[in-house]
Amino acid sequence: MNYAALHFRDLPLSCLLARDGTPPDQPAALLSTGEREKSHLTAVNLAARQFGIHPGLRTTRGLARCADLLLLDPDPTTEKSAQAETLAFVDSLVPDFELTTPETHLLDLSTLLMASEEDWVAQTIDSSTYLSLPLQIGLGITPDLAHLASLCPRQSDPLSLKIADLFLSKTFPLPHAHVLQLWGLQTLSDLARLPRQGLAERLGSNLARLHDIAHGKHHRLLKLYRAKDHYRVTHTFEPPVDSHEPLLFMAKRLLQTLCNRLEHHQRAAAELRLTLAFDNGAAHTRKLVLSEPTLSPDALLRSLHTHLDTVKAPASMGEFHLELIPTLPRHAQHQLFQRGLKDPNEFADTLRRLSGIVGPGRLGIPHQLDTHRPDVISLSPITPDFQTPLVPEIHPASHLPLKRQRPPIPINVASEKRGHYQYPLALLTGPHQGPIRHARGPFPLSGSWWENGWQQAQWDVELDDSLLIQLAFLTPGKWHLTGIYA
Amino acid sequence: MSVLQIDQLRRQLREKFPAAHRDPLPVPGESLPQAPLEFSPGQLSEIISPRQSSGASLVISELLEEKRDLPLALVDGRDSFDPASYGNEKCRRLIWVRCSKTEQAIQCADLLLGDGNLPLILLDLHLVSERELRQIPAALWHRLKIQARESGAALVAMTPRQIVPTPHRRLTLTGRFSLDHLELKSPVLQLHNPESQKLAGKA
Repeated sequence: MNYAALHFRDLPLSCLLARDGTPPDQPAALLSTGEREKSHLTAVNLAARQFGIHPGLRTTRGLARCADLLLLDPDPTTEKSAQAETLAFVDSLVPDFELTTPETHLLDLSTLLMASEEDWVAQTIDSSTYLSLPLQIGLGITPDLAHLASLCPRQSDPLSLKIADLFLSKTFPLPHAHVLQLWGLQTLSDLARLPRQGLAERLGSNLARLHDIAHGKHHRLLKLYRAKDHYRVTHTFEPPVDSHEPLLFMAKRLLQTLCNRLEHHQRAAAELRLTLAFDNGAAHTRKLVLSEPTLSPDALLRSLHTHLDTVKAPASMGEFHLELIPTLPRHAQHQLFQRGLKDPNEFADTLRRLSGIVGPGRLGIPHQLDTHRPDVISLSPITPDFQTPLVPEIHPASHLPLKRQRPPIPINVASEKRGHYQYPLALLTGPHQGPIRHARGPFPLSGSWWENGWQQAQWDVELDDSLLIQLAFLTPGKWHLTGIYA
Repeated sequence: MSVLQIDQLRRQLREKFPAAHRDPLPVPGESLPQAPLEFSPGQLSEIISPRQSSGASLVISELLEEKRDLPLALVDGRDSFDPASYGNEKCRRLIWVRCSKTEQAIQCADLLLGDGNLPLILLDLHLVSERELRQIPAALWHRLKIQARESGAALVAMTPRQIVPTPHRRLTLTGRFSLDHLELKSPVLQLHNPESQKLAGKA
């Protein structure tokens, strides 16, 4: 059997009985909303059914059949809470399931490894005892057969389901139910024995489809349920911790769980969201965007580790939340003659580490800004595809590139004034001292006169042993060694 | 054997095999065989720049001109790279790591090698002071060598003198430039491979 259906019988009523601790042999029924005199019964338990009470019956009639009938008003809050609990329970069993009705869940068992179906059913019923809700499990080769089986008490054959009960359950379209009963058909197996073509001609395609379901010929796909916060986990430390090692230890396990969930749903993590809650009420939230969707817990843990190394905790940590934002996994056809990054996530992590070593704003793809002021540059952030905006050339590249001295070294230069400018003759201080053999210049530069203006005169000079350096003369009378033509 | 005999023997050997005993540093005006600027993946190479203006920046310029799928990583040990000298188009193929200390530069090179995503990493220690160079333990170069071998990335260290023990390839920059090269003449990168010359001399 590939499918199982978990049917929490009369959930709106049974959750109220479980809340109040009512014994199962107490006949009970759920009333419809509105005036009590005109109300009818919307759900009844098995004990009440033994008195011939069924859903749809007027309340007065129900009381007439069983004076001891416990009448309960619907409680949407309790019902919602019970639905959430049942959903969490089913989610803990299998990764793929359909929320067919609030009471019924269809489970895909194909991904489960089990010793035997009987053991799995027994184990599931046993593990659901904490819910205190009546659970019926049906197995089938198709989702609808499993659903029909779950409507039968005591896991009997789905074809033994009474047509009247099927009509009351309102889970399958069953037109002309009264005609079928007039024909003397009691159970689904009676219907299955009729010729399909004649049934379709006389009573329509809906009954023909039910005929197909009964014969296992109708196999539909499950509409898989996906919870919104399915990829979020929380862990509370008791007692609170002072270092990030325990967090990493726990995170490794939790990330594995989250990645497994993503994998079951054919998704990958696009980003990791971390929230740390400290004992002094402070919180630290960080969104770690991954350069490529991943399903590797190690890659996620590495990013987390790198980030945690930079976090300074203001107090002991009591709780942390991890959330993975799902996306479709990347299926890229790599170029045959083009090499790409082997592991974009590891590379992104390496860049974060490098940035941690050299400091912010000291790593990237450089480009020159549109100004004549020397050494005004910008660094573009590195993207996984290394695409940067095409910046036009501002100045022609020099034949012999310069190695800049950052910051420029103030030096003393012997000079003489010729016209408006000081001509350098020899370097008196600094790392390279000596007479200047040849000099090119001056190259006067200025700018930003409308605010804090700047101006300087650049010189290219040649010292002994063919050492080429760049000097800058700044008013008033300051010389700087700005670089070496290396 | 006396000292005189040893000196005599050395002189005879020098006369008989002049190529094998040639000083790796070039004699001014002498033309030397040009070595290609190619670096094997997974290997550590060294480019020595014995004089400060001998064309170390031209090496970066040449490497940036090569068409490659992934950018070149430049670990700048003295934060001396000048993007304006190369132009924006060339700089698009570069990842610049601006380090302020030699220790930082070594750490960054180590990380990039360990990562193994970029095929070529240039560690520029050209303008690093002698005192800082002496502080780099030889074992660290062995570590970088092993990292390069494991990751398959090529590491090229640009140094002012020979400091890398047993590199896969050691090249020496022999360029001499004048002020004319800044504007009028086009400077040509001059690389010399002493090992190949020795081999040629032996052959």
